[in-house]
Amino acid sequence: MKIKPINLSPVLKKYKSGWVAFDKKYRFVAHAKSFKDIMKKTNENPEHILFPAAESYKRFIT
Amino acid sequence: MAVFPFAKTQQGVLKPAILVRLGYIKSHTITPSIFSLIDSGADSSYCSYDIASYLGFTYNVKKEVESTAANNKQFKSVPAQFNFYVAGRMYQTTILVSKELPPFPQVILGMRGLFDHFRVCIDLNNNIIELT
Repeated sequence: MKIKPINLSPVLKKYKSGWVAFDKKYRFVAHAKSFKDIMKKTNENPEHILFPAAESYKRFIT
Repeated sequence: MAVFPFAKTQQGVLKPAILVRLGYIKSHTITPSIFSLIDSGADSSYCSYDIASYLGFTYNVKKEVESTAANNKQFKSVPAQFNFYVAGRMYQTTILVSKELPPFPQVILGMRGLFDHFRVCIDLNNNIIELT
């Protein structure tokens, strides 16, 4: 079984830090600097999906 | 079995990140789903203080422990009991809360917290992550 990756890059490239909220279909909902702020902006909607924004995601070792 | 697609974060970059909800036992607060990085090289799971403080966690410097990052740099964190909601399951685990995590990732799923509860298969050729 092969599936397509979820392409978040069109949205993530606009933000260098903070949090990005998506809906269940991975459509952009909101951006905020802190986790508390993104929760406020999204009315703490449990259906949303949150992704931490960064300047780059390349060449990581963890 | 739960199947997750890879997340494409920028051109040419696919991350093995899955959706996890975190809950702090003392406050009964639960986050929405957060993209969390799978890291088989991490002994423990980590969470940023940005998330933990929202959940009502208090950072106690007296309980700090040291961890070592891949560049041999030390960083501090505090252990805490959190509930993990992963792939239809809920379980309690010890997670390390740190104020020193980089912007990404803000949740790291390590040996304790993910691999001790699931068999994890990362299949890059088919773009899937399987948890069983």
